[in-house]
Amino acid sequence: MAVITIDRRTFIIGASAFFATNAIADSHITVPDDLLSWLREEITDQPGLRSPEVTGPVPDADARRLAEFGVFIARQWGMDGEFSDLTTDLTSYLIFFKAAESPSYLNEYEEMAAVLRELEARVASREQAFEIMAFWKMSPEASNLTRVGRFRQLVFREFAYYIVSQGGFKRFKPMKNYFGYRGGRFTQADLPYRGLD
Amino acid sequence: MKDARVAVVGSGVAATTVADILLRSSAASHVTMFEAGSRVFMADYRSWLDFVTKDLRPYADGLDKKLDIEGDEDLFRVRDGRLMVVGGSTVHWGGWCPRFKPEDFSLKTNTGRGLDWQFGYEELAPYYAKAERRLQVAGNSNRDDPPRYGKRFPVKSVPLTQKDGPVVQAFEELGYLNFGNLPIARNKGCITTGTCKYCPVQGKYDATMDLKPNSERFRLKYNCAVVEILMERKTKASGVKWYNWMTGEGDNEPFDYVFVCAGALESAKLLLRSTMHWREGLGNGTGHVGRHLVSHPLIRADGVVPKNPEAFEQELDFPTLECREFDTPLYQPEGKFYFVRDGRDHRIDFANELINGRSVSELEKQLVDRVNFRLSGFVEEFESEGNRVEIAKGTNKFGLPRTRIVYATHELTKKAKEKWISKMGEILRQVGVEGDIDPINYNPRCDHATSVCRMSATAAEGVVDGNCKVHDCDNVYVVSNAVFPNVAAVNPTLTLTALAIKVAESFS
Repeated sequence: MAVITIDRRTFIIGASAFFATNAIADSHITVPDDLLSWLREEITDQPGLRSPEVTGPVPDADARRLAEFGVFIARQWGMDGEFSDLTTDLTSYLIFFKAAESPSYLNEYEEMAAVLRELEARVASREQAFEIMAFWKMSPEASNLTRVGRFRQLVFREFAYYIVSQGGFKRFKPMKNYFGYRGGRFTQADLPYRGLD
Repeated sequence: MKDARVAVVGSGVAATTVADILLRSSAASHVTMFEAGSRVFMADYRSWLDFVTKDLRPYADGLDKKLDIEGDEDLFRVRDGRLMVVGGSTVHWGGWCPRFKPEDFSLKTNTGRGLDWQFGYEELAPYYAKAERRLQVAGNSNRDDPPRYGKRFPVKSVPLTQKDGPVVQAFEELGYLNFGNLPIARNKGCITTGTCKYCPVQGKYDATMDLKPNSERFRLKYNCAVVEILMERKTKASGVKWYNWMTGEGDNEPFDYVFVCAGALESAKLLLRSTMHWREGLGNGTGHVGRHLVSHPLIRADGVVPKNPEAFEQELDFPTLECREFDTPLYQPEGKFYFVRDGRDHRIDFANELINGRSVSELEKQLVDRVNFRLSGFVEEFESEGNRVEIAKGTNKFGLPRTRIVYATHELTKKAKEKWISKMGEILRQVGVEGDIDPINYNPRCDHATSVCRMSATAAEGVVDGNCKVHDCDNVYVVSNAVFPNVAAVNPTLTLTALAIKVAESFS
């Protein structure tokens, strides 16, 4: 059994934990050899989306699992609650649009949900599976043809930009507006950004 | 003029303005608009999501490729500038809408360089006001340089941001008092998403907003390059030859009038390849088509203030503060300068930082530890002898001839760039910047290119007259930045729109 160091910069989510972000710096998770090789296994030879022309709704269970992953990383960064409307419903919105229209992520999302599902079965908890897929600091970085690399590219990275833009940036007080945030009209009395008095 | 069949080449702001006015006034019975590029769906939510999450721009196929250009492209940038799609370069423009200043219309009289316009600022001023309404420009109606003659902006100005504050203070301390809200095409629908390169609600004007649905009187033919203007005789065009690169179809189609409303480079190139009865190209009897190429060198200065207790950070995607202190007759002989406080590129990319393992607390600390300030501006460029655009061998994906650029920077412009970079550095020091000030010196880009079909009193000096009609040709007009006799120091789009309104109303 190999010992894999996960460079954790944030808490692992707990069922009802209060997430004081960044309070924990170092932590270790042991990952079996077979899991390591499984994560790094190439699952495609196509860097781009596979079957982008196939559109449609992501199966409910898959969409829910991916949406929960989105909420998980928002909480890790302290970007839930007052800072964001990021709920499973809103994350589901992103998933829906990316799958319903071409170039569609339907095929990819189904596979990435399956990766999460299988990983969950191999580790102690769903949260641990989420953490590995989000925050495991790989060295060297896995290519986007592998399970973990592809997940990072198509799910983690895009969700991260979505989370920050949908209000997560407000975690960085006193910011009021940011790239991708629909702050409101500049003609309104309460400016949607910090104005010059 | 009634019942005229009109061909409009291009689908950017000049093209849609001309088409709209000719159809409304019934000066044209039918308008056919030809656009070499493809259609991009604007305000499409999925496209916007891809922009936010992947930085994908849905119009990227409309940009030039390296192989499309030859010559001095590294000195005069064609790629990344213009956009060949329905709506033209307005689809990705920033929306800055300053007017030219009165002195810009008399460059030759004032400095001996270039040419004067065939009319002055006062004559164009009413059309500027109409252009501001068309583009829904937000601006401060109380600022009167250049003079507004009481005409108000249609949308109130975008208030300055908190981060503008230190720069405003520096301006005041240095006595540079000609500053204020940047006039910018942000309509009342703007919801300040910060994604202005692809807006989810069309809160920024783009020319597709003025496109009428295909009807009995209007046709939009996209993916269709106009290959040549056909001539019945030297003084009269008979139509255009077009080619659809997507379907392979093509035709010689008759028209009573042709309005060339493409960007500067393609407008000149179309005249150059229209050689029926004009051996050197339509309107090129005296060799001015494609010549006199100028644009705007973009210069920047960056610096860091090593403390930021108020957590200043870029919250809007577009600048709000402009300065015209050096855009005055005093500086015209050496090349005027117009600038803004910019900062989009310095915004902390929180998502990317977090993805790459930086912690929230590290980013919180960064936010208050230091702050970047950037000033960016345009220098009025003078023509270097021999600057021109030409037709190169081969075609691009749109069926248009490849582009050859011959370009050198005028010595005066080189000096002006150095001077104004230094001036921005002085202002940044006043803001509180410590350490190095990073000067960034970009070569001119083609989306602001002008003068390659310049306006003149006679054919001996230029290509079109004061109404933008090609000299010695009765029914071909060029309505494009190409006809500007000079480039001034500010963005050309508002002036182009005003000119298009003037020409179309005059025609009507």
